[in-house]
Amino acid sequence: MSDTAKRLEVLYDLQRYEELLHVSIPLCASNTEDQGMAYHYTILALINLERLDEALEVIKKALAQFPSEVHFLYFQTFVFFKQDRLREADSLAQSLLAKEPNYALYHHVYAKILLEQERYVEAKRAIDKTLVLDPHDTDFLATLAHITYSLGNTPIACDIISTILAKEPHHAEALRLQSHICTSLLMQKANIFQGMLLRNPFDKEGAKQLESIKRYYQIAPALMLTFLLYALGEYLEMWEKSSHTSGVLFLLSLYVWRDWRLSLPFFAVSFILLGSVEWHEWYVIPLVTGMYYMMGRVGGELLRQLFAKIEEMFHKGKRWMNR
Amino acid sequence: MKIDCHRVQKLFSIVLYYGWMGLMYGFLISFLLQEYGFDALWLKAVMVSCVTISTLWVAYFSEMQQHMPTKKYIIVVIIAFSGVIASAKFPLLIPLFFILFLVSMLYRCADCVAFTRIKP
Repeated sequence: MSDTAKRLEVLYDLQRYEELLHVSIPLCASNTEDQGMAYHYTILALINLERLDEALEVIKKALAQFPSEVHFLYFQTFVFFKQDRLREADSLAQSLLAKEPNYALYHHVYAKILLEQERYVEAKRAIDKTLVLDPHDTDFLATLAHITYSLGNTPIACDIISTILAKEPHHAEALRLQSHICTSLLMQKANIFQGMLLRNPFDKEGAKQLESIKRYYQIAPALMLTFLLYALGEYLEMWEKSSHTSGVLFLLSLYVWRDWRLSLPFFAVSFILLGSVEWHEWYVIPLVTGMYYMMGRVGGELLRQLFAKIEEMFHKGKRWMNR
Repeated sequence: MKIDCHRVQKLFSIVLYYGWMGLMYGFLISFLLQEYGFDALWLKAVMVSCVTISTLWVAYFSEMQQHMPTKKYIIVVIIAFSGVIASAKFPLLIPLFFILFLVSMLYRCADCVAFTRIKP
């Protein structure tokens, strides 16, 4: 390996991508023996900087220069996958695997593409082939856990995630999956996100989730307290009973359900104050509390998915406009 | 003792998906026994419990081993119901249909990919 190639490798390891591009881009244009290596690191740096359109242009040039180099085809597949161009990524991955069927990374990217397309059975077959070639890579195991969860088996998915975290306690994808599927307690989720952010302070998704949990613990108690004060006023007949109270409580339940340790006592106290329930009808309180919690949970999840879908559509629209 | 809540949830979902079919066959088999003179109440209770538990065990075993596609679940339900319909005319076929119903749950279809367990 030449000195320039070694320098590119070191810059890449140090994550000094801009500096790397200053060195590698002129080398790509030259017809030296380092040209292939320069293309390789330029593409990697551009992918890491999320300059995906530029990465695609460089990949096209690299493929024109080195048509037999399969890993440039892999980069192209990966960039298409990152850009959500799943059909193109799918067909490219298939041609990639036809050329080089014995490389675990290529099967892995194909499994991820299939997973994104919600073709879980095919994704499972692809990840099985990956694991035959390399059974110990934690990234592959994390994808296996995600596919297993998508196929409807959360216990096995959580076992796999625990195995990954036992090997690598800071594995970002495993931590993300753990917070998403293996933990139902909001405080525990917050701790996982804090751990993830300590490891990688630029993790946008983790920061967003942590922010959302912190916001919940600021807003939800205030809303609950306000409602309870109003309910107490009604109970003490300080003001007239309103016919809209149950509607307001339902709207509140869509937000406050997230931590059951807060929401269940809140619903119970609200019904004690508002329901005029006799002592011998005590069982009504836990029943209605559970019902409101479930309604809030289902409604809240549906709303969350709706907002996520709208946000995704905006992002797709933005990407389409920028293309 | 630490309870694995995901396993409990899985078991709960299996009770919802398959428990009613187990109960149905439990009642049918206890009615069949009644026709042959075994009409003790305790026997009916034991029969219903045994059939339901064996259905749930087979369902849990199957679901933890391989993926259950929706199409397969629909076919399992159809087999279970055809057993009930057939039993009206030929009551002796009930045990046979019950076995067929259990085997259909364990049957490995083309899309029933096996789950991979990782040894720590």
